[in-house]
Amino acid sequence: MPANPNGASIRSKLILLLPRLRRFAAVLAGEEAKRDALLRAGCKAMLERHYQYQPGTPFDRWAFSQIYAAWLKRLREQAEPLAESQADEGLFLPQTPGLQRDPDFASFFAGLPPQQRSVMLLVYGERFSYGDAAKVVDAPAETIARRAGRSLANYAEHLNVLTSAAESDAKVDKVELLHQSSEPGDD
Amino acid sequence: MTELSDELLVAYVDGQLAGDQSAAIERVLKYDEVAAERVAALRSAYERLEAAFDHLLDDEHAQLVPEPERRQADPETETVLPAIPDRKMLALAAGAAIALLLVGGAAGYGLSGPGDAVQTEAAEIQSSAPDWRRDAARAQALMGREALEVGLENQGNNELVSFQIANTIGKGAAIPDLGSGGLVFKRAQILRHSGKPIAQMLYLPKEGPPVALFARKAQADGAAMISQKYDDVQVVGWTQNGIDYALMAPASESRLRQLAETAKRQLAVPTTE
Repeated sequence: MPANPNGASIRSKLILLLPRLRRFAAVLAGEEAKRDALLRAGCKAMLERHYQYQPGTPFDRWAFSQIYAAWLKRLREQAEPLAESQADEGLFLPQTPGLQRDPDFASFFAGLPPQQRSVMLLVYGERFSYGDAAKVVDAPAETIARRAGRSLANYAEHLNVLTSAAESDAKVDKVELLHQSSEPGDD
Repeated sequence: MTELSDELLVAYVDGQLAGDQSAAIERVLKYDEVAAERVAALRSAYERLEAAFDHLLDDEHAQLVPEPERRQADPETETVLPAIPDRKMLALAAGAAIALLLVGGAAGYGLSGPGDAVQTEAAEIQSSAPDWRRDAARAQALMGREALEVGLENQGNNELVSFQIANTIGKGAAIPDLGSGGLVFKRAQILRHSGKPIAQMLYLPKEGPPVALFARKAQADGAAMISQKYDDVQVVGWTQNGIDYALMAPASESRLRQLAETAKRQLAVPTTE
């Protein structure tokens, strides 16, 4: 049986995961300051309780579950947990020049409850199986399948509405152009 | 139209169905246009989501890791560590990972990943003959000047990188300053040979291809400095404080020996923790 990793080993693994964990913390916390506080709390908890990590468990899945647990803990400490749900759209738009920004995605995503955001990230961002995502958020795989299904269907609908609206606008423009070109001139 | 629930179609698009279930869905999609259109819409949404999340991750890497070092690493293999972020991000990373504070700052953001060519070669090294210096020389032969020169941001804090190297390879391993030989340290990375980590420290001269210093835990003690040549790459190797070193570049043996002596002198000085 492989030995339980020590704190130094956990630290090395955590460092590798930091960008992914930070993205996950952003998805859960919904704003920058809370993201950093959550990431800090999650990493601290992992280092203090590294002996709880079971060798053989995918480390990333374990680390994500620890961040999620830290988020739940903080949420329970809030006087108004529901006030946490609305996220800052800017957090879901890349700040690095040259990286593609998708404002439609950001506005849609920021409006979702954090639990749904986390499932979307785990399934579509991290590409975890429903089973692995379920272990991260300590929920049945069926719940993950349902949430992922609802989220993706809603997003497809959201994109469809945007596309239809864009097509509708284009039609209006075309009709206006035709109308203008058929109007009699001044001469 | 066959009734296929959204949940089932999403699971199909997500690739979460077993092979025979997917095949059954595909058979239905061949004659059910409505379902096929629905799948196309879901797939389009899926791809857009994936792209958005990928860009967010790229953004995290860009903020935490200098651009040329940005590369996804497999956390299970631990073959490659991410690069040192700039000072602003060091503070954030240090704040984020309390471990880094425990070891004196953001020491964890250590070593960078190599270019794709070297990565491929590193993978080959794992299954090739056990002569690690020859294999390392092969990898070195793939390293062009542009791999270090294009858009490179210096890893900045040699002490932090040295710390990581010492953690991975063994006490005493560090980045020697070869500035007296006209070399500037650019970056370091961890490769693997026969399952064991090898640190590769890369230096850039004012002109010409880079020079690499490889280090790995020694199998046995051996004091003599040796020279070997593999194709165009000259290698000078020695063992010091339980660590095998190999300095290599397409350069003359005398030049490399001079650099190796400089490195050896510096590595003899005990490092502080």
